[in-house]
Amino acid sequence: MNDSKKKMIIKYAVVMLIGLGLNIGLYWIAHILKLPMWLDTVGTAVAAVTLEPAAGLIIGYATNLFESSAVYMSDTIIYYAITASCALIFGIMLRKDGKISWKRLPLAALSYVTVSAVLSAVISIWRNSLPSSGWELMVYGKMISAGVPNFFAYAVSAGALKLVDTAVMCIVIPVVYMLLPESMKNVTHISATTWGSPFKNTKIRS
Amino acid sequence: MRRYIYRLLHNSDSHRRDGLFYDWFIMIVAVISVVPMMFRDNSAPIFRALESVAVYILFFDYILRWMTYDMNMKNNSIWAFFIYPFTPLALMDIAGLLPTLGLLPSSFMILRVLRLVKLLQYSKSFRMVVNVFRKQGRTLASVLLIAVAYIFISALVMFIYEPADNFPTFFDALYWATTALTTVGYGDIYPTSDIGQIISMVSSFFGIAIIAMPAGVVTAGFMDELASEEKEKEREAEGNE
Repeated sequence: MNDSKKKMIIKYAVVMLIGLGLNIGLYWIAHILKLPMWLDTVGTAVAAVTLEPAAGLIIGYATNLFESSAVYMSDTIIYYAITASCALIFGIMLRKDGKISWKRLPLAALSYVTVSAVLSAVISIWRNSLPSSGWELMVYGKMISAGVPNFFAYAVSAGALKLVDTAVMCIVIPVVYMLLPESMKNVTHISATTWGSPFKNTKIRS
Repeated sequence: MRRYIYRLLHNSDSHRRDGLFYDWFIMIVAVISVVPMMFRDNSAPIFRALESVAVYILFFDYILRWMTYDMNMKNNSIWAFFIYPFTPLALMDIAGLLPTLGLLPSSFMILRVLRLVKLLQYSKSFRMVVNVFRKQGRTLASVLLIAVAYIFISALVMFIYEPADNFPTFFDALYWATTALTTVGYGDIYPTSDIGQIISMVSSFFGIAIIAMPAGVVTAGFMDELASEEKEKEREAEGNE
């Protein structure tokens, strides 16, 4: 194994571990303090932005695996769809012409809130379960008592929490990204075709 | 990273150690995941734990396959990611996992056997068999058509000549013809009239020939597949030199 390969493996391992730590650590803080947010996808977005969306997808799975096996039920692993959307949206949308463009953060955040709210509603209805967060349940209850249809009640309650969640993410992601040493962000080896044709002509630079 | 994952997943033709290890690992996990189904009382915690862990691993494999599917299609189009969940193997993969996750009603629990399809995905021998069936599909279909026609004719003749007590319905006659033609012969239904017994004897002789035909076709196809595999290896070796 040559030196550059070794360095790359170390870089991926470090950033992914940081991402996983952020996901689980921030999730516990939000959980213990009963904050109106999940914060379990911050690290996923950081890894997707710093390295590549695939890295975000993998640590997102590790986070969901932890949550579904240690905190919730095994069927909650299906909420991975939301985590995956986070990795893909932030990892792809924040890249423009080979650079990380923070100007695109609001658009990415808005897309993520919308997609995750819809996905969350669909999955919750499929599982035939009530929202698992107390805050979400409160918003959901108010929506239902106001006569809002079930699907929209799910989507709005999930979306409300995701909105707060994503607002925090929009602060944390750039901060963590700036704090990481440049060597950790060196992603020049990622080809332009990493995620399909729309990004064919882009080269990702640090 | 995606390129590495792709090579890891589609490695069975080369001899990379990590890829071979991954193939075997997933095949073993797929087999272990159906072990609880072999017990009448499979509600023991150990079985639940075993199945849950296996499902998590297989689900991860599903995700890895999804995120590298564009490379598999070789056209590098983003549409590959939308197509993947609807491909036959992906549908079978996810259908095998959802019942355990409680995302399908319990009447769909039988779908868990689809996890064994992983063996098809990862085993080179299975892929060869699938190739043989794909290549010889038309020949096998013709042979199958002959067999079905033969069963139908024997059943009809028997139904007409045998007393109604022996073959009360045409379905009984079909059942007899099928078991006789495939040489299974349970013996619960049999002809008693002279004509019926003569038909039965003739039917058995021709039946053996008809049943042997697909076996011959598959064997020949398998030999061809092995030969082309050998040629491919030789070509690769020459290329390396």
